[in-house]
Amino acid sequence: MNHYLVFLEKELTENIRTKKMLVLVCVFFFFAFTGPLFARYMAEIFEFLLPAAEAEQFMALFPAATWTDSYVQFYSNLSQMGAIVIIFMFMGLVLREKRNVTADLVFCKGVSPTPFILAKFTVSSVISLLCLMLAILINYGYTVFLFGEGGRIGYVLAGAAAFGVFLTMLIAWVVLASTLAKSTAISATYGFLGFFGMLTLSALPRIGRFLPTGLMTHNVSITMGDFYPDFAAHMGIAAGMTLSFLALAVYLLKRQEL
Amino acid sequence: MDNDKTSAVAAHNLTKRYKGSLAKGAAPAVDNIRISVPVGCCCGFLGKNGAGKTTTLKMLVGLKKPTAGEISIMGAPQVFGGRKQLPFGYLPDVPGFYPYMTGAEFLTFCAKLCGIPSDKRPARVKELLDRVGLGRARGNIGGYSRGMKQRLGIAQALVNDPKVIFMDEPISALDPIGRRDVTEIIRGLKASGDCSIIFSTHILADIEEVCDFVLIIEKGKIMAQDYLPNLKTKYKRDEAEVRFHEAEAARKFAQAAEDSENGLRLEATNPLSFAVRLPEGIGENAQHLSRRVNALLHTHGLPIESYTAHNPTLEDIFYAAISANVEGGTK
Repeated sequence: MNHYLVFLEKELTENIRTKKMLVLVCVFFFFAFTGPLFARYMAEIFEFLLPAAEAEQFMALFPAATWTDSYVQFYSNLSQMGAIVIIFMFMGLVLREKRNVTADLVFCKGVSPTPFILAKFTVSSVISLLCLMLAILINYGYTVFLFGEGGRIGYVLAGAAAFGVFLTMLIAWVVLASTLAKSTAISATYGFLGFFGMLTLSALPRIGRFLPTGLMTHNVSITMGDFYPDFAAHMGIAAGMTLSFLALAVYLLKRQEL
Repeated sequence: MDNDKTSAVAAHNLTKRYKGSLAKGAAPAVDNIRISVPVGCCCGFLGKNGAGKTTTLKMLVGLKKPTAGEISIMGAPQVFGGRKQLPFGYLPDVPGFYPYMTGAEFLTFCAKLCGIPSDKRPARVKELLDRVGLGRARGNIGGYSRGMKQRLGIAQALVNDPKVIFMDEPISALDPIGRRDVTEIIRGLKASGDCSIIFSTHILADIEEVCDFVLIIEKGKIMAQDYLPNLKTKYKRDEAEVRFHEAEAARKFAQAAEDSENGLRLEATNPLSFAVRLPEGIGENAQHLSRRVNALLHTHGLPIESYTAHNPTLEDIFYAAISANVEGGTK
């Protein structure tokens, strides 16, 4: 049996039995439900929480909520909390195997690190992408239910797909961080440095446009059918960075002593 | 390597120097060693903590990159990062498992990695679980005791039907029941004759109990390697223990030895017995010693309980071997 398939099966079992998948489902679904809900009932929530005069003043600053606000809520939550959850969930992917000596048992059987790394990446990415797609469909349905419309489903899925490509790149980075690091804290530090470092650099005029952070920040405009100018380039850059991170992780693991 | 064909494991000029140790002037963790473990033997790899056992074993199984040297397992070269499946199994010091799997699931996972066909896997897994006494174990590995994990570790090392099995401290950290169980498994493996066994330990009794071949390592250097009977012969001293029934006879014997001119040197080990030897230059063989003791006893009419020629224990051999390194180092 192909080693990649063996590891795929093992990773899938691990994600189900250790309830990692359940945590991801809960996080994504929470954002899927709360996005439209907060967008639709923001006024009522402020009315309930603030004294009447202050609530009135506060709400006067904001226009009436529309269906696009539910996507704004969804993506802003996901790009912050979602990314942090992803880093925390997967920061020990390779490191834990090295520390728990399970990597010793696997690699002394003549197994190459390539299927080992690729299977971890595949399962983590597929689960995250499935959660994302289910979450966006829930978000869409709930938005239609609350606002009467939710945008064109094709654009809605395209916005989520863009986010998914960025998420996949983030997971590849976390896999590399986990391969490089010698402790969980260092792995988390690499993960967050990469994520927040890229966000910070993307604000710089000359460098920013070459970083694919637009895939995570322009999702609402994509959902409305407005694909930003660098969209295609960012998709390509993200895919290239994903492959580079994975290739580097494999290269490093092949040379690491256990 | 000349003896690759007859050695289960052979290593020549094997050296491991960790990064930074050269700059600090530290000795290498493993220093230019030569190992040749014959096919079919149970080899005890003995050394103090930090002597270099784990580093050596990890180089032998391909998990650490040697700074220099060559390794072969059953004649096939072992190359770090080579990813070729060689006919060996390995049990690490503290084996780690996936706690959410059952023992059978973990062995099935290992069997798949080793390329065992799907129709043969269930039978192989069952056979291995029965062999290590986990056939009736229920629940996930997370709930296993340390002894059970050690036994599962041995089972996974056997999954590919290896010709050589390496075990790093398989018994040292176990409770008495765990020790007995794992020792029995090793004894069973040895009796089956299916594979050569190399296991490291710092506990002498473990080796004396099951091994027929011994490697002694100290400060990264191999101080002794041979079959245990050969080592016992090599490290045997021309010394004997004479034991008396009565303290009075023992006292008379000591007095007689002191007064006589046959040169026996006595050292009281307790009120009833003495370690006796000849002084250097007078004689170096055991028969010479026994004749002189016998003559003294006969002359003075002293009855004895026993006369035991020196037979070195593994502890004697170990201390003699590592002290050679200490002496070498101080020269």
